[in-house]
Amino acid sequence: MRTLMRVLLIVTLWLPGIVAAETGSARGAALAHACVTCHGPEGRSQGAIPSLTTLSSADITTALQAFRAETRPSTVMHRIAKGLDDADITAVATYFATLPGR
Amino acid sequence: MSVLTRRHVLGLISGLTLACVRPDRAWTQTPSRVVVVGGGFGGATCAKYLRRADPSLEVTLLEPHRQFVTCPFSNAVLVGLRDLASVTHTYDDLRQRYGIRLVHATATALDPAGHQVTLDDGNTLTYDRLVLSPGVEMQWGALEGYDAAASERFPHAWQAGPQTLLLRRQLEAMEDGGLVVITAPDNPYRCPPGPYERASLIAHYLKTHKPRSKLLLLDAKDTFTKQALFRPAWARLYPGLLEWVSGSQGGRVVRVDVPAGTVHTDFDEYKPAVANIIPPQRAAAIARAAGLDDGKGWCSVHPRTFESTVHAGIHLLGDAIIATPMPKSAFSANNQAKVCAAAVVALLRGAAVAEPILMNTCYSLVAPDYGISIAAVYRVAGDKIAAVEGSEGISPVDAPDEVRQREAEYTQSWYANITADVFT
Repeated sequence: MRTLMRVLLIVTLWLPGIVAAETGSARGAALAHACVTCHGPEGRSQGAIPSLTTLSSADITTALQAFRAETRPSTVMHRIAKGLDDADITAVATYFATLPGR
Repeated sequence: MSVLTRRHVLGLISGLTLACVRPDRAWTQTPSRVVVVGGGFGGATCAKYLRRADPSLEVTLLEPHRQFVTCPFSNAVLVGLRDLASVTHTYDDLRQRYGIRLVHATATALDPAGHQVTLDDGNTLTYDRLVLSPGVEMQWGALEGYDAAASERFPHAWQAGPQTLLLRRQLEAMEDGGLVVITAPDNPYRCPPGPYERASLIAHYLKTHKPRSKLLLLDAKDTFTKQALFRPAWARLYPGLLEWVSGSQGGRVVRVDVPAGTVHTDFDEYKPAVANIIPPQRAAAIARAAGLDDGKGWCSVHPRTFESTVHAGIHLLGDAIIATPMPKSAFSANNQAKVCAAAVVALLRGAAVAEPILMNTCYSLVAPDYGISIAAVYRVAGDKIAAVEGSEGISPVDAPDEVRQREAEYTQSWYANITADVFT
């Protein structure tokens, strides 16, 4: 009986993890969901819009900060980057850099 | 109470193990059911992101059509730059990869208290949460003389598919030297820059194939989105060919007469060879059922969850809602769908709803190699959406041609990527 209770307890504690298919920072994932509309699923772009898959967290952070400051040329990213604060930039950079299968 | 035997215990454990490897069947309760109405950029995205976030959900996507023809890039189809197949998408991946149940029927009635949707095939669906993303419908009769029958002669082509092909055939059949009239409605309507991109690409077609022709864009409005980019580009690319007439300068169309083949403003009567009437619109019927639009023709929502301000448990997104300052665009619908999906999952679990990230980017082609954009990032304060300072704006007005060329390439790339995000 005690064994059964232990099994039940372990399984019950473990279950919420099953449905949490999206791991990592929730904020990073939410931001990334907006990025992939242009940059492609998981950041893999078809065509001229740059893919994000080969970029490190530092690459993405540096690029977004430079876009925001308009020290790096761009078309639309000057505008988008101004909508992100420092915490957003860190969260989304970390998210893309830690996606599985890169 | 019976005594637990070893067999009972083993049976329970194996049952639990099955529950663990089959997360689509929760073991303690029946899975939550979410019904999504409308398989466009909003609904299809929402269904996919619901299942991605919580594979235990039973997600039903209700869409009358077996394929989805996108309005984005249908202007390119109109003028022969693309074919209809290239803007047509199936639901195969949503069904097979994401386990979404597709029901090809139309929702005809809602029972918000009973949590039920009635379908035109007589069936009903029961939901724990409902998401409505049915798009717009043409408001027949709002412009005198313009109804569904009239649209077979003067196409709107504002829902892509047969209407797109009809307008394309008319443009192809027109003789050089003909007059094309496009009419643009008052705000709000689906895809604010759409009429102006359409005028641009038709002008490009005429300039290339029928250079003695003329295009008149009769507008109910005095200003429009990306105007500071469109108008100088028109002056440079299509001088003498494309003329925009603002509402206050006599551009407001008040009547069409299909038997006579005429389009009427307060001051003038036109008899075009091809007339493209983009009429006033409103939220599709199911989004106005059960008083969801509060009699206004469009629905309002709480922007953290996209839950209706009228009925709890019903979420609305995409072109059917007013989410000012977010425009009625494919990007907005796709973005709202992801925020809505995350909120629905949180609400079903009794968890806190995350701070939403709302964004929009709309590209328009002024010519095949000339692209322009408008973009913004939004935050929610209280129950209102507001653009983050500095993020909202259009492409630079005085950019060199290389920038327009690059944005035209990005327009194509954006289409490939957003449709992959929605349908694969």
